[in-house]
Amino acid sequence: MPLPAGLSQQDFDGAIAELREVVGEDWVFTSDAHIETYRDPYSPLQGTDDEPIPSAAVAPHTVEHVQGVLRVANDYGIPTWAFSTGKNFGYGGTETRVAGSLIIDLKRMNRILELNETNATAIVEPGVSQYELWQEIQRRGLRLWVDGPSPAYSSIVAIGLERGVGYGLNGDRYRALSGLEVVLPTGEVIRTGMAAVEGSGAWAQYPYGLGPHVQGMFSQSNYGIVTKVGVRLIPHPPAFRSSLVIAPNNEDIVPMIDTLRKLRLGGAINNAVSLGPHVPGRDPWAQAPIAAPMGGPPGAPGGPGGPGGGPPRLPGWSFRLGLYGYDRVVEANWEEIQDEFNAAIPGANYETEKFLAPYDDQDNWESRHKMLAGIPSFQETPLWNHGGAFISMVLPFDGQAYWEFREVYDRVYRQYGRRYIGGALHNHSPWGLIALGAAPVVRDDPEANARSMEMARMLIEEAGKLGYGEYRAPTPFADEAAAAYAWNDHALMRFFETLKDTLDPNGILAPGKSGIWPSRYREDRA
Amino acid sequence: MNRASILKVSLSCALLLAANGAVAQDDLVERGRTVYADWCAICHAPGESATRILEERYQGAVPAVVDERTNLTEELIVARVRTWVAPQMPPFRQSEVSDADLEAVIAYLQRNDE
Ligand SMILES: Cc1cc2nc3c(=O)[nH]c(=O)nc-3n(C[C@H](O)[C@H](O)[C@H](O)COP(=O)(O)OP(=O)(O)OC[C@H]3O[C@@H](n4cnc5c(N)ncnc54)[C@H](O)[C@@H]3O)c2cc1C
Ligand code: HEC
Repeated sequence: MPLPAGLSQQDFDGAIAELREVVGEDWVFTSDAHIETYRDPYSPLQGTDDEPIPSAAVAPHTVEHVQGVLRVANDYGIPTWAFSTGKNFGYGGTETRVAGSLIIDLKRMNRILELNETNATAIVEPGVSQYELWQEIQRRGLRLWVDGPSPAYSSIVAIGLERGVGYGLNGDRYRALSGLEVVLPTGEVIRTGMAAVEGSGAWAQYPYGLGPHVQGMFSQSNYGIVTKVGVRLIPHPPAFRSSLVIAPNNEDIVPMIDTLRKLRLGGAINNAVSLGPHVPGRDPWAQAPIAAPMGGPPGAPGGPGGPGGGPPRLPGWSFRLGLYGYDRVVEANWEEIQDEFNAAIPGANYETEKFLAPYDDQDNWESRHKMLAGIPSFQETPLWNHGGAFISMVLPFDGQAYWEFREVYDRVYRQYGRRYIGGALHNHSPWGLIALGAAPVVRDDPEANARSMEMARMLIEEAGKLGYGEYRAPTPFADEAAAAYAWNDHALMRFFETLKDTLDPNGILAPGKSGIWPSRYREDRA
Repeated sequence: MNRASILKVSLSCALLLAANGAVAQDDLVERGRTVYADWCAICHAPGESATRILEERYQGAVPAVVDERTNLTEELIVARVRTWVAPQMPPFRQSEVSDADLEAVIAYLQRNDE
């Protein structure tokens, strides 16, 4: 395994010995077999000289351990990278930017410190997954739902910090966070929002506190290691209606988005909506491919586009809609929503089911109802056969803008022998739309992966020309993603760098995360 | 030699020894049952994602639910749990399923082996 740059074997051994003192013999890993479990099998860099293989991993169990690990890293100048559950597939997994990094694996910090049914909140450590929190809620028989991304082994903390996507009322996972405890790179511990009040009686209830709202500084950043968060949960509503809204034609995506915007901004729809190609007889969103190899007859995913070329014609679109609240209000909203779609989209149709509290049968629901409620279900995680990196852009919530974007993405995909189906749209913040793209990775085919990386870069560049940037950057493409945010000669990045150099003078925490490099690496890279 | 066969050898040697061994083995199997429930069942319970994939693969030749199988070798289980054999089952790290947990889950999955 590679050593951290500039470190002798002797110093490295010294650092490892000190780490063992901090966390105990059993929780420092240096063998090839252990390091293997910290490589990202999805990475486009896998098996190439550019893959940044870690030198070691350490698994702290307490905040004091985290402080101790950072002290050792500072003393020896070792680059580190913290992961909560380390399952960030499609956005970097446990890959770092610098070879020889020390992985800080927080999975053992998995305590649920508070679970409050009355306020529908919890306080958790980073190792707690969405699934584990759900299990605890079940064990205690609480009437709460969680919400979260489809891979239920994700960390509540990490998915919030990464500003990831759920599907129900708390789909904007960042906004579900309230109050952080953070170990700064220098080892000092701070708490944000109400958590900073001595005795913190409202930690998870109000995220802002007093003064600058710094919680966001620790999301998608390398300014600290988050060791606790408050998180909002969902109290069971009296009624829950789970529907599929289906539009029968390829072109319907434009009025579908525009009608959805009206209903979302107007408050009739409140769940994090995902739109996808409608494949009759199949549950759409779970199995929607993002791209397909070129070829096949008209109508096939990789087949010819509409008149004059254009992206593949899809046999319709659909999205999952959750309505929650008092039964009569839910029903009235549902009537209005159908009226709106019927007026905008001839032939719009619906599959729908209503559930009433208490939800005694919720374990047996179909996975799509579970996802809308906020109950983890692994049936929604069709992991890819090889790997890949999501290249996902933030668009305005506008049908025509999406239509044009799809053409641009498809043009790039075609240059690389693929078609962009592009039926994966998230709308977790009511005002924007996230269009998913993905650069495929083929196991043991570095050449194909190099082409794929080239395609990813071109996607980022072409989207940039339309004024769009990514909502979240896969680790190997972080610099390209950050480069799009270039207004005023990259003033924002200079600001990020100023913060980085102040908070992390030795540049030891996650160098290169979100394209933010500490000064010692900037000099090397210049 | 797996734990079940160690147990058989000791059985044929001394009854007392075998009784102690059986208790230890039972504890290990029980621990394995918990590990399985916490870490594996979410995909491997009846009707869940892994079960559906294995159902399609084996077409009834062996049970699709892995904890009903009687032919899982230690090598196969270790390879599955520690390395990325199939993309649908990300490997587990020490921080998730420790070596002791893995030993227990192997004992649990082999509890009904011949
Ligand atoms: C098929 C498929 C479906 C997916 N579906 C979704 C989805 O529905 N929604 C979605 O959002 N994503 C989705 N993803 C993307 C991704 O796989 C998940 O978001 C993933 O579960 C996140 O992993 P994690 O929680 O283990 O994060 P980790 O790997 O633990 O962390 C991710 C990053 O967050 C930062 N970080 C983590 N912990 C800390 C900490 N304590 N302090 C400071 N920084 C920290 C680090 O920079 C780290 O690199 C999907 C991916 C695939 C392949
Ligand atoms: C995220 C879902 C998931 C989890 C969690 C999971 N598995 Fe699996 N597992 C799968 C899938 C899917 C397959 C079949 C994959 C294939 O071979 O294509 C599989 C296959 C296996 C097999 C091989 C069966 C065969 O006949 O090839 C074994 C053994 C196994 N898993 C054991 C475990 C154990 C033990 C755990 C818990 C420590 C576990 N799995 C956790 C998804 C999972």
